[in-house]
Amino acid sequence: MARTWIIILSFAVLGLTGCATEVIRKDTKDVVDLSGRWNDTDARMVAEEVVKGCTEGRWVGQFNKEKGRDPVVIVGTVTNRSQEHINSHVFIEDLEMALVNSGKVKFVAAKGERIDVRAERADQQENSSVETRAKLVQETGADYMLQGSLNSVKDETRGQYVIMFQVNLELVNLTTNEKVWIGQKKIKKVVKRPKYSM
Amino acid sequence: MGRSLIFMLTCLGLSSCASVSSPALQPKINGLIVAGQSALAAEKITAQASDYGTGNYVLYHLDRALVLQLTGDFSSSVVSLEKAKLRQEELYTRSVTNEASTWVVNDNRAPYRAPEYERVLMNVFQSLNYLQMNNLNEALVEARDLDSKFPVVAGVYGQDKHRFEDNGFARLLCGILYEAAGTGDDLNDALIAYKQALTVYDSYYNGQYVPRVLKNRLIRMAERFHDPDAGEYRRRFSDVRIEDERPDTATVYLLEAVGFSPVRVAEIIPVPVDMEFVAKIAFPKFVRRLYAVRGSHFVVQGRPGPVLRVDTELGADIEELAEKDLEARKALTLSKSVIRPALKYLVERNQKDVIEKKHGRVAAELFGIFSNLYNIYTEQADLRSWQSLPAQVRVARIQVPVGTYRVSIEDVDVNGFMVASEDKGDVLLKAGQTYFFVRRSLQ
Repeated sequence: MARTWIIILSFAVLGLTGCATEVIRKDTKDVVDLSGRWNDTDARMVAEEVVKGCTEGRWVGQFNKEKGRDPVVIVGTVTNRSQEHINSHVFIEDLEMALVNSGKVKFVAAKGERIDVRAERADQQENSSVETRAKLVQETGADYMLQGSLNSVKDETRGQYVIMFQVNLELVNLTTNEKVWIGQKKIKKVVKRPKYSM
Repeated sequence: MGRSLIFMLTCLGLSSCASVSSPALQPKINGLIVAGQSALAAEKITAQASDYGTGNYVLYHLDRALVLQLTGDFSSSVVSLEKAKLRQEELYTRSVTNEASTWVVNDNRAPYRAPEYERVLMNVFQSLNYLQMNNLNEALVEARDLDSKFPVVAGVYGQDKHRFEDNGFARLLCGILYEAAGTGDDLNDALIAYKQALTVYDSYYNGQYVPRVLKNRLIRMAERFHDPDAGEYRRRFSDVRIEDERPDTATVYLLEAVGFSPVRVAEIIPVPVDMEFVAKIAFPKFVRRLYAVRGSHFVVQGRPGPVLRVDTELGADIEELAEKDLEARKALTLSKSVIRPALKYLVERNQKDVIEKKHGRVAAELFGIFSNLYNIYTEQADLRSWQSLPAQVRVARIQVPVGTYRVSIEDVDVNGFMVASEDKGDVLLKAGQTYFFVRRSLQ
């Protein structure tokens, strides 16, 4: 009888342990994959690698030589053509950060962000002192726009799938529509789920 | 006696858990939906989530999503459907102990896993959410997700001729969405989706039914891409009028969910195993619910201009899908319903003999009575299904010259009498654009 009680108590303790919530703080650079879906790590990795390839392209040197200054870039639309609902703003912000940190190009605010900035500037014209107010019609125009798409291909059978995310980005000359750089980054993930667990 | 006591207590414990799995709130929510009180249903389902039972997370979010869709809270509906989809994926891994308990108690012990036809409909209704939020891009994500899901769900029952887990309407909807996106790649995807939709409709209806919308778009896309099957489609679907694709026209679709999906009820057969033991065999069957709307007219009236009126046609027969799905799994469900009471009987018979030898006839008789009660109480059919689904999804398409139009829908009963209508108001239709109107009829 005593043995029976020991077994019951052991199961009870095991059960209670399973119920405890565990929270672990992780560095944002750590790779954590829970489901195989597109995540923050993918966005950051792709942004850093693609922008590195972009800013090391020949077009930067040619622009410097022709214009005698750094090119000005704006990030346009990155269309989600994958089979996951992806917040492309997170990826676009990673792209913008990587562009700014590269130090090789200048970077201007995108269309949506400019609305707030322009409203503030207009407000300053009425409410700020003449010495401190931002000047009108002094915005820096972009020379190039970075735009592209995020695609995915999924091959699935029951219990496992392979998914490949492919990010295509291109840099378009805003004056001539010429594509001066095209980059691509692929990420492949294999996700397996066991049929049974305890 | 100690071991017998533990056995009895285990049985009791498991059976009490079984009642937790039953979604007690679901019939009330159903009642409120049918009564047209969607707002109250949304309030109740959100406030009383625990009444769906811990094992019914997927079912809870499926029902909640459609209730919220009815109230017009599409963004919350999106969240619920995504939660259901994610958990459904996780539930691929089955707990051995949990599965074992379904053999000891009943099928309600297992968490609710949406059958394949419901998995497909999750994407369909998520697309409808996005279309009502005027977000074609996200609706396209659902279409692409379906594309990768179809080979998996279609593989469940092997190469069965009637692949009802696949869904012709879902394929058709994918095609419509791709075509609405309008890029070269998307149009090519649309042609492929339409071809696949035709294959599924042909397989499901033995070549006897293909929606006019599909015939129309299939011919148009096949001719656009000079597909070798274009001529065959023209010959086969010669009854369909193909209008010219003029640049100064707009396309308008109506996607209407009609009626209520069938509900599961228990078929119960009491079986006296011997003179002392009674077992019960319980398995689910679907019963159709009543609804008045059996057709509808999609009316687009130029302001000023002529009135264009198109009858909606059957896209997806969800009632039949549900019944066929259950029918396909009947052999497994029935065999489990028979084997389980037999196993219980063998164990209880053995226990009763042991008790009689050790503690006498009275104790054994008491155990026998308890066992019979336990068998009758625990042997319950799994009556869970996504009950907030409609019975049908109907579809209509109109191509009109650009301009302002008043859009309305008239629902009719089996005799063609109008039973409900909805005025969607005046809409400016622009050249080359595709517009979607989504409606849920509760009559």
